[in-house]
Amino acid sequence: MTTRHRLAALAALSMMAASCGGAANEPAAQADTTVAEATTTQAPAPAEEPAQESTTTQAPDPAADGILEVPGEYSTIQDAVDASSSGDLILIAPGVYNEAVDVETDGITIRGLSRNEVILDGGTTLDNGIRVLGASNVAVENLTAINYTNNSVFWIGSTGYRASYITTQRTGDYGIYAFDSVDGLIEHSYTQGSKDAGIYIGQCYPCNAVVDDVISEHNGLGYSGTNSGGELYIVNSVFRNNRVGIVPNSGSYELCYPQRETTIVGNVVHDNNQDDTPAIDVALLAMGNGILVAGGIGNVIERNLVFNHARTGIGAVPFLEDTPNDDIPTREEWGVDCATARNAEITIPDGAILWDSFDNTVRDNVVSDSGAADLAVASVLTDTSTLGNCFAGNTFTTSAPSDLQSKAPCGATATGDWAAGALNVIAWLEEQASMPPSVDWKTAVLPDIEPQPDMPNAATTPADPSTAVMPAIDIASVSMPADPRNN
Amino acid sequence: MWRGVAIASALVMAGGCGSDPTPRTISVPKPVEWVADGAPDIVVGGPQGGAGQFAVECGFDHAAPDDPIVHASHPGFSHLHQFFGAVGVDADTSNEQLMDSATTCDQQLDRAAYWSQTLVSHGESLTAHRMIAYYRAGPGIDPTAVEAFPPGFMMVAGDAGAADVQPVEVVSWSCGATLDRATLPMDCSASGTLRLNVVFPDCWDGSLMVAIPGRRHVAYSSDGQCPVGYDVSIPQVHLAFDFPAVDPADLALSSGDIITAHADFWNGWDPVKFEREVRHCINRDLACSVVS
Repeated sequence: MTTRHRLAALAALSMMAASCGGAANEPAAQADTTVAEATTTQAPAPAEEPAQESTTTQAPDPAADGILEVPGEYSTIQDAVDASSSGDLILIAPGVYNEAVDVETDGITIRGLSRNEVILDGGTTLDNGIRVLGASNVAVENLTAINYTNNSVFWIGSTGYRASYITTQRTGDYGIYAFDSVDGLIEHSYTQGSKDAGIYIGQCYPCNAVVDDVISEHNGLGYSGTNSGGELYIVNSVFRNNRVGIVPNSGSYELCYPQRETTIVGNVVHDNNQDDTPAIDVALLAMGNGILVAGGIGNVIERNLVFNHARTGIGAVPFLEDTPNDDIPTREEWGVDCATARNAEITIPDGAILWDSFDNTVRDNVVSDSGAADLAVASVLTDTSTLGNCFAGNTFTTSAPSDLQSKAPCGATATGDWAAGALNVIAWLEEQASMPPSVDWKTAVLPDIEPQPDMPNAATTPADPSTAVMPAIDIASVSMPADPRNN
Repeated sequence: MWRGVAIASALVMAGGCGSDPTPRTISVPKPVEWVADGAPDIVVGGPQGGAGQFAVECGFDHAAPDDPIVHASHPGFSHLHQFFGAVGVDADTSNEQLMDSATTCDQQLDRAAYWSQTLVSHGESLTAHRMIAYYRAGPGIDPTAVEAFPPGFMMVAGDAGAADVQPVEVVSWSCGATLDRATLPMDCSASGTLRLNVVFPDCWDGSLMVAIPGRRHVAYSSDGQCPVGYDVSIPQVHLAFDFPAVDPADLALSSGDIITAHADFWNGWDPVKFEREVRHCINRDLACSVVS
C-alpha cells in the first residue's frame, strides 16, 4: 500500500486552489441519497435442504452438480469454497454473512443471487471479505462486501481474476484490490469509503487488466495503481467525490517500478476534493486533483470528462520518495517486465529520490473548473519541457505552464517559455499539514448506497472460469462520456 | 539488569514438572541467557511484494516498568517499556488473559503483546506512535518449511545489556521503511520518522515456550539452515517501531545507552488465524499485506 509515502506535487503560482475547491466547488448535489434497503436486509432463515431424491442410502454430495448453495447446502461461504473444485459455482442466497473468506481453489465463481441483498459484513473487525490467494481464474460476482479492516475483495498473486457487479463500502485499505496479479477484469462495480483506494491494481507489468464501468466515490483515492501498467485500461467509469480521483504512481517500497502505460479513457472524473473521507497521507498531499500521474511513464489519458477540482484536472507531477529502497530505473530499463525486475539487484540511494513523470499523452479530454490548472505538468529538478509529456486536442481553459497545449504538442518538440505559469512543486508538500485530516474509516459519514444494478440472470448463468481474464477491448470505440450535469 | 531470572510461570513447558519425585532445592536460579545465538545473514527488508509475508500495524497502548517475560509477576521491576498489540498487558498478565484481550492492531485476531524500551531524547521519554510487525520466512529459509509457533510462545531479540553496538541485522535504525539502516539513530527530519527495527530469531527448539536457565530456545538461521538443536523454522518476526524524528544527538533508551535496543514478543494470536496466515502467506510465498 502507499501509506506514508508522499507525493511530491505541484502548486499553482496563484494558489487560489483552496478557495476554489472549498465553497465554490462543493460536491454537486448528488441524486444518490436514497436509503439503501440492502444494508438492512436481514439474513433469512437457512433455506430448506433441496430435496435430493436419492435412491441410494449414500448421502448426496451437494457439490456433485457443480453448484454449491449457501446457506442451503453449506452454512458458510468458506465451507462452500473449501468443498469446491475448479469450475464450480458457489451461489449465495440473500443474507448477511459475517465472514472473511479465503480462496485457494482455481477456477471457481463466487456469486450472490442478489447484489444488494447478499452482504458480506466484516463488522469492522474481520480483515478481508474475499481473499484469493494465488488461485487462478477466480471470479467474484454480484454481491456486497462492507466493513473490513483491510479489503473487501482481494486477489494476491493470481493469474486471471474478475470482479463483476461488486459493491464495497467502508474498508481500512481498499475496496477492490488486485496485487501482484495479472490478466484481470474489474467491471460494473461500486466502491465507497475506503481509506486507501476504492479500486487498486498494483505491482504488475504487463498487467493485462481492465477496469470498466465502475463508480468509485468518497474514498481517499478513487483509483490507485503503484508500479502497475502495460495493457492496463481504465474505461467508462466514474471517479467522483474522493480526495483524489485517479492516481497512477511509482515507488520503490514495492516491486516493479516505475508505474507505466496505463490507458485512461472515457471516464467522468469530478469533484475530487472531498475532505471528510478516510485517507492515507498521500491522499492529503494530493487532494483536489482529478487525474494525477505521480511519477508515471507513458500513460495515455484520452476522452475523459474532468471538472471541479481544487488543484488540477489532469496533472503529471513528480513523486518524492523520502526513503527509497532502490534507485530509479533508467529509460533503457522501462521495458523490463515485472517477473524480471523483481529479481534484480537493488541499489539503495543516498537520500530521497524524485520519480518524474515522462512521456504521458493527454489528448482530447474536456477539462474545466480547476482551481490551479485544468492541465498541468511539472518537475522540480529537471527542465519540465524535456520530460516528453504531450497535450493535444484537449478542451480546457487554464494550464500550468500557461498555454501548455501549444508548448507541448504530441509528436513534436516542446517549445516556448516553460517558466511562464509553471507550478511550484514544493507548495503541496507544505500544504499537506493543513489539509483536513483523515477521518476514521470505521465511523466516517458516508452517503447511503443507492441500490446497484444486479448481474443479469444470476440464478441461471453458468459459471465460466475462462471469463476471469482480461477481455478484448477496443479503445477506439470508447467515446467521450455524457456530462452528468446535463441530466 | 536485563539478564534476569526466568519466572516459574513461564517454565510450564520446560519438562520435569510433576512427575519427578525428587524434591527440588530452590536455590539461587541461574541467569537466563535471553539473547539468541547468531544474527540474520542479511539486513532484512527492501521492497515489499516479492517474498511471502503478512504484516500487522499496531497502535501504542501504554508504557509501564513491566516485563511479562523477564520480570513476570513482578510489576515495576523493569525499565520502562512501551507496549503494542494486546491491550493492558502487565507483569501479571496470563496467557489466557492475553488471548482474550483487545488489541491495538488492525488485525483484530492478533492479540500478541509486543514491547520495547522507550526512546529518551534530551532526558524526555518518547514512545513510538505505531509499530509494524512483519512475519516472513528467514533469509534463505524454505518458506514451505516454516511452522507457526504455538500460543503463549515468547521470545526476545536484541541485547538490553549490550556493551557495544549490536549487529545491524538484529537491531537497526532507519528513516522509515528503507533498507538503508544503521546501528545508531540518524537525522530523519526530512522524512519525519525515525524507525527502530528489531529482527527476531527464526529457528526454535520445538519445545520450550521461553528461554530457561542454561538453555536458549531460539536461534538465528544461517545460509538458509537452522542450527542443530533449533530445527523448527518459525516465522521471522521483524518489528518496526516508528518514533518521531528527533535530534540524533543525546539519545538514550529507557534501558540505558542507545546501543541497548531490544524487543519482546509474546504470542497471543488467535491460533487458527495465525496458522492460516503462516500457511497462506509464508508457506505459499504470497505478500498478503504490504505495509511501509
